[in-house]
This record gives sequence, structure tokens and C-alpha cells, in this order.
Amino acid sequence: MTMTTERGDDRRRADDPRGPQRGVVRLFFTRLAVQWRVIRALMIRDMIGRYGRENIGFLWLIGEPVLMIGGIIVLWSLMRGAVTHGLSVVTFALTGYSMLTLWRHMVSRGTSALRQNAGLLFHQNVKVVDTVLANIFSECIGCFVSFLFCYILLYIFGVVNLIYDPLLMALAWLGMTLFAGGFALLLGALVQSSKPFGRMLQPIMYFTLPLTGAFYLVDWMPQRAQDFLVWVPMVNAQEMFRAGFVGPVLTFHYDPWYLFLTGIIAWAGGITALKFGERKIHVG
Amino acid sequence: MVRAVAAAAASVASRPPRIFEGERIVATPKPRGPAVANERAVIVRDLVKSYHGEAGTVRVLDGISFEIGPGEKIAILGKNGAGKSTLVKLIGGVEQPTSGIVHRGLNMSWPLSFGGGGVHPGMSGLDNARFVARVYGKSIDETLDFVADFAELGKYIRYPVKTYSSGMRQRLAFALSMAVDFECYLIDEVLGVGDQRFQKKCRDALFGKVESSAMILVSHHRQTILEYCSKALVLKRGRSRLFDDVEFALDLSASL
Repeated sequence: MTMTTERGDDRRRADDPRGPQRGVVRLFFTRLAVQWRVIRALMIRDMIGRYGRENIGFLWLIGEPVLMIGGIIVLWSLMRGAVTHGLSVVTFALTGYSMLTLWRHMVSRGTSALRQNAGLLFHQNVKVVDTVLANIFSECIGCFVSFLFCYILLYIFGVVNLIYDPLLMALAWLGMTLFAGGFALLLGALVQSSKPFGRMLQPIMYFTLPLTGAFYLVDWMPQRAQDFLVWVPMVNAQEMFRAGFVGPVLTFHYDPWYLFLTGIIAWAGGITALKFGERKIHVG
Repeated sequence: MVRAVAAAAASVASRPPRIFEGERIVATPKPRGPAVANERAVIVRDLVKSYHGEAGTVRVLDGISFEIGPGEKIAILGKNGAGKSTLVKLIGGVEQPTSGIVHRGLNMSWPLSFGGGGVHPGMSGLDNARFVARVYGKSIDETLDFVADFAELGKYIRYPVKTYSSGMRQRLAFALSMAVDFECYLIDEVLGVGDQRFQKKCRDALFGKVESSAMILVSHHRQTILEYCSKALVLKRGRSRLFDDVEFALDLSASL
């Protein structure tokens, strides 16, 4: 049952004669360095493997979401006119769809990571969690850069205002990454350990869409719906993101600490589930 | 009265359980010994792996144990379906055992030849080499030079691996694994790579340059095993037996 999980070569280098305490600290940092190296290699591998070196290459990591967000902005503007409930539709679509893209990409890529990258575990330094982390990082960065790209373009043409509170937005983005990452880890592990659950994944993902808060502000909702929605972590992140974008012109309902807490809980559950799901991995 | 009951209980307890055809008794697992410390060896202890399938649980490996230190070379013998590939997957760390210990105290290679050695089909040969260099912390330039020289792919090293022929793919995979200095090589029937000349080159690289490294060799190639291995593990239906007399083990596995 026990599986020794040293990261190969670096373990011996970290044996420190100056005492166990120092050895442990150094061991931690050398392993952290190895882990970062591996995650970085996996991110690059994933980008190049997916998009190749033809035309704009790995810039498609940014290009894909830009196309999606841009298309949605045009579509919603046509459907709803310039302003809804005192919020510019372009702003609404830009903030809503960036977050939604992050959520969808993170969860779908995070869950498939376990299945697709099992062959990589033959490299002694690569652990299951590294493959998932690499996916999470690259999606988080890729989607954020595509949001920035869209934003700068729209700002230059004077369609959206200057961001009111960039720090709040960045924190909301990180909060969403944290929660979605943990959630993806949990789902991925469950998919790995149970086949019926894998079949249910698509419907589950579809039914979470209204819970991401991309299509409304909590303030527009009737009181009873609001009471429920404030407990949904994705809605918290979305509201926080929009609050950072437009400022205190409108009322937003969010609690950063609640978002952070649910993120931590999701990770705790996700890593635990991963430990069990890992044993079900079957290759070839 | 009391004594009679006790006697009856004793007789029930002492009666051996009835065994039908195709059944066998699996001993209750002993409590685990102390975990393996930082020992410089590859240690496999009481390894059990079972899979759940339509026809119930199949125990593919059932209590495998062996140990190799630095520089030792072991052959793993057995018929098709004896559990060799499963053992390789467990030693390689891609699947987790149902119970038992795999301790990798040596810097281990990925299994040579297994699915092309983890080569990404969407990336070019060069990008695959860069990936390996990054994961193992090698200098990227040196790795690229070595791989380009060894694999002899010419300009095709810039093309995606999915466009390669199977021979080219194997050559690339082999070159990648030679680019990193491992202390223990896990070799799964690799010795049929490419044409005659390239086979010789592989053999020289593997057994010449890495004379001092340990090796776990899964092969049917009698000559190679006799020449290099000092121990042999014979697998049959998930059980194993370790032999120091390699020639005897080869004869035995041929007669199984």
C-alpha cells in the first residue's frame, strides 16, 4: 500500500549532515524546485503539443478564448441593446464570459488531465498532481491574458471604461482559479474512480453554467434567489470580478473570505480524492 | 457439557477449509514491516496487483519480491500473460499496487520501448527532447545535440512525431532515454529497434556506456540475458521465484 514518493535524484542531494531540521527545510525547497521545473516543462509540452508551431502557434491558447469572448460580446450587444439595468452590455459580456471561459476550461481540462497524461507518470519526477497543476496554471494564465487582450482592444475603441479596482479583479480571478482548480481535481478523481460518474460529467458541467453568475447580477434577482446565490462560490467570484471592473456604481454581493475558504475546502477534498483516484489509473 | 462445546469448537477451528477446483487460499497479509529507508536500491516487496473486471477480480501479480542494488542486472522471464508488463508498470510508477512496496532508491529510467517512451505525437522530435531535458534538469543544448546525433533523423527531427515511421519513433525514444544518465534502466523488449546497424548501436550504448548502471530487463533474448544478467526472476501466473543461476532460470521458463 505504501508507495515511496521521492522525487528521484534530488533526494540524495538534499541529505544534509548539519542536522535533521535544516535537512528537512532544504529537502522541501529542493523538491519544490523540482516540482516547479516539472510543472513548467509540462505546461510547455501541453501548449506546443496542442497548438504546434504552425501559424501563431501557442498563442492560440489566448486566441481561442478571445474568439469566444469577442463573439459573445457581439451577440449579446445585438440581442440586448447597449445597456441593461444600468450596466453596459459590453462590460457585462466581457466580465461574464471571461469568468465563464475560465471556469469551463479549468474544469474540463483538469478532469481530463488524469486520463490523458497517465503515460507521463513513467518519468519518476512527474506526479499526477503536477499534470493537473500544469493544466490549471496554463488555463488561468491563458484566459487572463485573453481577457486583457479583449479589454485593451475595447478600451482603445472607447467601448468600456477604465478598470475601477484592478487588485479586486485579480483577486477574484485567483479566487475562481483556486475554487475551480480544487473542483476540477475532485471531479477528475471521481471520474477516475467511477465510470458512471464519468458519464454524468457533461450534464453536471452544463447545469453549473447558470450557477457561475455570468448571465445576471445577484442584485437583479428576487430576494429568495439571492439568498441561495450568495452561497455559490462561482457567483461570489463573478460578482467580485465585476465589482472590481465597474466600481461602486451598482450593488454587488460577494465575500472574498468565503470564496477563499471554499477554494481551500475544494482543494482539500480534491487532493484527498486524487490520492484514491490515483490507484485506479490503468494504462494500456 | 462446557467441555464438549469447547471440543466441538476446537474441531471446527482445526478442520481445514474445503477447497474446490480452481480455488486457493490466500494467506492473510502480515503486518507491514518498517518502511524502506533511504536505501540505494530498487526494492520490490510483496507486490500485489489486482484488477476488477467483468468476471470478478483478477490477481495479476501475487506477492512479488526482489531487490537490486547499484550496477546489478536482473532479467524478468515468463510467458505472455505472466504479468511482466504489469510489473513494469508498477515499477515505473504509472500504476499503484494493490498492496506491497515499490521503493525506487536509484534514479530510474522510464521503460524503454513502452509506447514509444512517452513521446508526444503532436510535438516535433526536438520539442520532445526539450521536454525530457527540462523534466530531468539537463542542459537543453547538450540534450538536443546528443539526440540529434544518436537518433540519426536528419531534418525530420523538426517534424511532429506523428509523421514518423515506427522505426524512426523508436529511434527517437531510445535516443531520448540515452540522453539522461540513469542509475537503473527499465527495459521492456527494446532490443528490436530499427535495422541491424542501429540495433548494434543501441546495444553498445546500453551495455557499453552504462556498464555500471543497474538494469531490469524484460526480454526473451537468451543471448543478451546470459551475457549481462546476474539474477533472473521467473514469473508464472502472478507468482515469482528468484534465481541466481540465470541459465537454469532460462531453461525453466522455457519449459513452463
